[in-house]
This record gives sequence, C-alpha cells and structure tokens, in this order.
Amino acid sequence: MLTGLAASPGLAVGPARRMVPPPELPATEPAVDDAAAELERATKALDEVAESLEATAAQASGEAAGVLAAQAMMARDPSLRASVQRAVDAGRAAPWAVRIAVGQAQEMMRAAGGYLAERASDLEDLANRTIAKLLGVAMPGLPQPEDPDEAYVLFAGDLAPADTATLPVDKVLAIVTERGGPTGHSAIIARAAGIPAVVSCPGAADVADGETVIVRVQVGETAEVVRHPSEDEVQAAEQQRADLAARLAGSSGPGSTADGHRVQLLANVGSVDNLEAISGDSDAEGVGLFRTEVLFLDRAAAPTVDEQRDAYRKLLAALPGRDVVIRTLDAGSDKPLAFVQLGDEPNPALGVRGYRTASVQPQLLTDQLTAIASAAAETAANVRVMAPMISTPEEAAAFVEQARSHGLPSVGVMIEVPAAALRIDEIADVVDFVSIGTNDLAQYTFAADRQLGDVAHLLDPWQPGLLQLIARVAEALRRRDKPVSLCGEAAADPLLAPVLAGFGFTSLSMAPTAIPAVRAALRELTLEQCRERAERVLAASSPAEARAAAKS
Amino acid sequence: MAGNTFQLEVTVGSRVGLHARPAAAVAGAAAEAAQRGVGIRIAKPGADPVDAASILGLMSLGAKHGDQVVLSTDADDAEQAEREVRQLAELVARDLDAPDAETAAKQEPAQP
Repeated sequence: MLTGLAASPGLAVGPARRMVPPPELPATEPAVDDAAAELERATKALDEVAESLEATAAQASGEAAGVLAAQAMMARDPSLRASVQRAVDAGRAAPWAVRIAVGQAQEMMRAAGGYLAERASDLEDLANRTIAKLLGVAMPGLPQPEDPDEAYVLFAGDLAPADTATLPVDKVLAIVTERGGPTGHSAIIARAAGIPAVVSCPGAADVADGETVIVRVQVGETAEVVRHPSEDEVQAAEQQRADLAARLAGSSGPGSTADGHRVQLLANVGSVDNLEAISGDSDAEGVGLFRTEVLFLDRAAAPTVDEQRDAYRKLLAALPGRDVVIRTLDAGSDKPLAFVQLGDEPNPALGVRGYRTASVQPQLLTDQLTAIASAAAETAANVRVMAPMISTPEEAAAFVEQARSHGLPSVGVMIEVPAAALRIDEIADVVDFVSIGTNDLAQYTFAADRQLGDVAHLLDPWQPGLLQLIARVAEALRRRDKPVSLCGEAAADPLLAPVLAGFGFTSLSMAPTAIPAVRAALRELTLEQCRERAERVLAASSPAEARAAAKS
Repeated sequence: MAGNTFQLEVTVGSRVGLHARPAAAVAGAAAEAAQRGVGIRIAKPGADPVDAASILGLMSLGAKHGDQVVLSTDADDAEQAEREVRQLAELVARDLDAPDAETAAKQEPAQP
C-alpha cells in the first residue's frame, strides 16, 4: 500500500493509467544530409500539432479553449518557425531544431517575467508534442486507453495546467501524483471536479499501467493507494462506493440537521463563469463567497464602475431570491495589482492587503460598493457584502458605515485576523453578519505560512487552537442572533460540519462539489447531538483527539 | 516603393492587454494580412517592433489595456497597406475578451 497527502476526498477502484511522459531526445543526433527535407519535416510536424490543438480547442470551452487556441497559434508562430529554420540551416536534425527554437522563445518569456513566464510551460508542452511526432513516439499527456470509454485512475508526476484543462472528468476515477502539494494545481482541479486525489505519493511511479488499484482518501485522515488488492477488497471497496453514492444521491435541498435545524449550504464562486456549478448536482442554496479579484487582476487600470456593475449584475440576475455574499477586493499579498503601488513589502501576507488596500486607494472600494449597490438594485438576489482582512472593531464599523451609505442592507466582515476574533463581541455589535476564512485565520493564528508544506500540520483545521477561536466567534454571533458563516477548506469536511453546526454556524460555504457529502453528514444528527460533539471536540487536546471526538 | 512606411498609433482595448485570447486574435489577423502581401509590425513607442503575426512577439510586448502601440508596414501597395493596417488597428483597439472570457487564463484564486 502507498500513502501520500490527501488532496480531495473519495473512494475509487479501477485500472491505473499513466500520463505519457514527455519524449526524450536520443543521445546521438543523426547527421542531416538534406536540410530542405529536414525543414519540411519540422514544418509538417508543427502544422499537425497546430491542427490537432485547434481541433481540441474547438471541442473545449471557456478557459481551456483559450489556452489551446493560443497554443495552436504558437505552433504556427512565424518567429518560432524562423528559429527552427535557423537551427536546421546550421545542420541540426528536426527534433533538436524544435527543442532549440522553443528553448530560445522560453528564455525570452521567462526573462520577461510575470504572466509571460507562466506561459512558458504552454510552449514546453508544444515542443514535447512536436518532438514526439518527429520521433514517432506516443503523444505526451493524458493516457489514451485502447477502450476510449474506459474509466481509470490517473497516475502522473504532477499535472500541468494544460493537462487539467482537458482532463476528461467523467473518465478519471481518481488522481495520484508523485509530487505536488495539497493546495497545488492538481489538488484544486480534483476538488473542483469532485475527484478523489492523493498527492506527494512516493512509490506512485512504480505502479504499472493497467494494474488495479483502490484509492481511498479522507481529508486529514487517510490518503492511500492499495496495490494488488484481493478480490474481496475490491468487492468491499465497490460496495462502499455504491453505498456512498446512494447516500449522496439521496441528498438534495436545503441543509439541515436530522431534526430540521437549518444550516445553509452555500458555494464559493470565483467568477461568473462558474455559476453552472452551483445549480446542478450540488444544489447549493446560494453563494457564500463571491471573490471579486478576477475582475481586477492582470490589468493596467482598475475596472470602471460600469464594467463592474455589469459583472455583478450577471451574477445576481442568475440567482433571484437567493443569498449572494460578495467579498470586496482581496488584493495585495500573493495577488498584487498593477494599479495599486504598495512598494516592496518584506512580508506581503502581513502587508497592505484586503480591506487595508482601501487606506491606500479609497476610490477602489468606493467604486466597488457603488457598482455592487447599483447591480443589487436592478436584480432580485439577496445581496450581502463583506470586507476581507478586518483587524479591529474600528475597521469593521468604518466599513459597515460606508457600505450602508451606498444603500447596501446587509454588511459583514471576514474574520481572518486573530485580533478580530478576540474582539468579536465589539465587532458583532456593529455588523449584520460575519464569515470566517479558516485558511487565513489558521495561517495568522499559528504564524504558519499557507504556502509552506513544512508547516502544513499547524494549518490543520482540527487544531484545537483554531477550533476554540472559531467557536468563540460563532458563539458571539449566536448570542446576538446574527448569521455566522464559515468559508474555507474546513467547511468542506463532512466530519467537521456537524461540529460547526453545534458551534452555532448558520451557514457553510464551500466548493460546490463538496456540498452533497456535507449535506448528508448534517442530516444524520440532531442539533443536540451536534452540540454534544462540538463540546467534546473543544475539550480535545490534539487534532487527532478532536477528530476522534467528532466521530461518536 | 521601398522605404514608404505607413504607420498608425492605437490604444490597446482588451481588458487583459495583448495576452492570451486577444494576442491570438491579433496574430491570426496579421498572419492573414501577411498572406495578402502586407506584413505588419507592432511596437511600443520608441521600442523595437515585432512581427504582429507572431503571438510570441505580441505577448513579449507586454502591452496592457490602455497602452499605446504603433502598427507599421512597408508594403508596396500604399493603398492596400493603409487599409490592412487600419483594419488591424481596429482589432487592437477593440476589447477582444468575449464576455465569458473575462476570467480566461486566470486560475481560481486560493481559498480564503
């Protein structure tokens, strides 16, 4: 049995299929007799790769289509072709010429930095495809099983963004990677698609193509890949899977405990394009966190009020009568904006970010609130706004006053800073609701960088220190009969959901695919049972003890 | 008529700048113009021009929304040259992000 890190929960049984690795150039380069013919070979391979990318792009949609179309254009790029020709003229064989030309372009892109540097990997993929064609070896990338309908467990070193863009989510039963972290690209994609995933799994490279494996992942507990399972083990796993599926299929409608105590189940949404995800199977009750950053990133100037209003209106118009919580701009730190000059911050996570941005550029927040209020007035959704990274009751009061002056009826703040959690009583007095961002609250409470794998154990949402802080916030809001929500990884944990209900949370906001399992978990217990569990969990002295306490 | 250069300054209209989808659209149109005999270059004012039909060249300009860029050509047929450049300029000035593309090429931000 192999173990790794849990990236996305679930259970799967099926044949292993490996990503085809990029082709390697042979050790010796053949001599070229006919440079003209060699150039024609390279040109033909690039053309064929461009054509196949264009065909795939035509079948894809959204972001994937854009990436693929741009990649196809790169294969046809005259400057790239000119570099290939120069290399062939200098006597290089076609595969080597492609490698050299792409290397030069990548160097230029990496030197330019930023967005362009990230696109260098698109070019790498292009080179690999072209070279595979020229060498006559299997196309690198997703496996192509002989039976095109076969569902499989995908094994890879790590997944590139381009792989995940074209991932056939209906065929992939589970994902196992040798590298990558629980918050990396593969993990995010797997969670979004509801596919179980194990990352950083040593030994995954040894699993042979076609071998049957069982993948079992419970976030925070197990992340295992069973090799060579016995007939009985396979049957038991399949039975367990069927039971789980039946339980989730029976799960729809609003969230509540067994005795009907309501806990709203809401979706985290990053862009208007993701809205389909919240209708459909997840049956979310609304949006508990709409991130507005995508409107602002990668731009030279801030979006105008009109442009923002159009985007918010599109969101709100799609959700009449439902709750939609819009978070104001959460920029800075790892999401810098070109038009907000913050200078060099030695510790960006502790710098001018979230609501603090408004102290540097007040117009940004004013424009955003104007646009939200205007879109809200034209639509029938139940709009709430909240500010990220609030540290003091004064900041909370100032934000509430400003948002209300725009005519917004329901104004809240996010609790991500320990100081705000400690002064929650004063904050709860002035706001209409609060929402806890557990990932940042954990990072700041434990002084542990979210992006650092070595401190991941401190960021476990089951850490008693974090749970006590969370419970304290929920209790303050419960006493005032005001809504309190939790958004972040922790909200998606079915074992934690009843505990959070016991703390007094009135809504949980998560990736839409996580909703059915959380809904099913809540329905199994009465509110009283949830409270009993919550009490036992609070008395635990370690994450493991807290988990154990939540199980009975 | 070598040395007869037609050039036009234009403001980038795409909200994400000349990246990804907009760059692909502009490069595609410039490649078509080149096939009709009008090779068009693009540059930031005062900088070295690149082939507008090269998506890699376009992206390396790093032209953002609102930036000025200069389109130019040395094509022989002055009338056709001007027409082609104006056509391409119109494309550069337009917002080439389809409404559903405002988040294109953007990864989902980290969880809160």
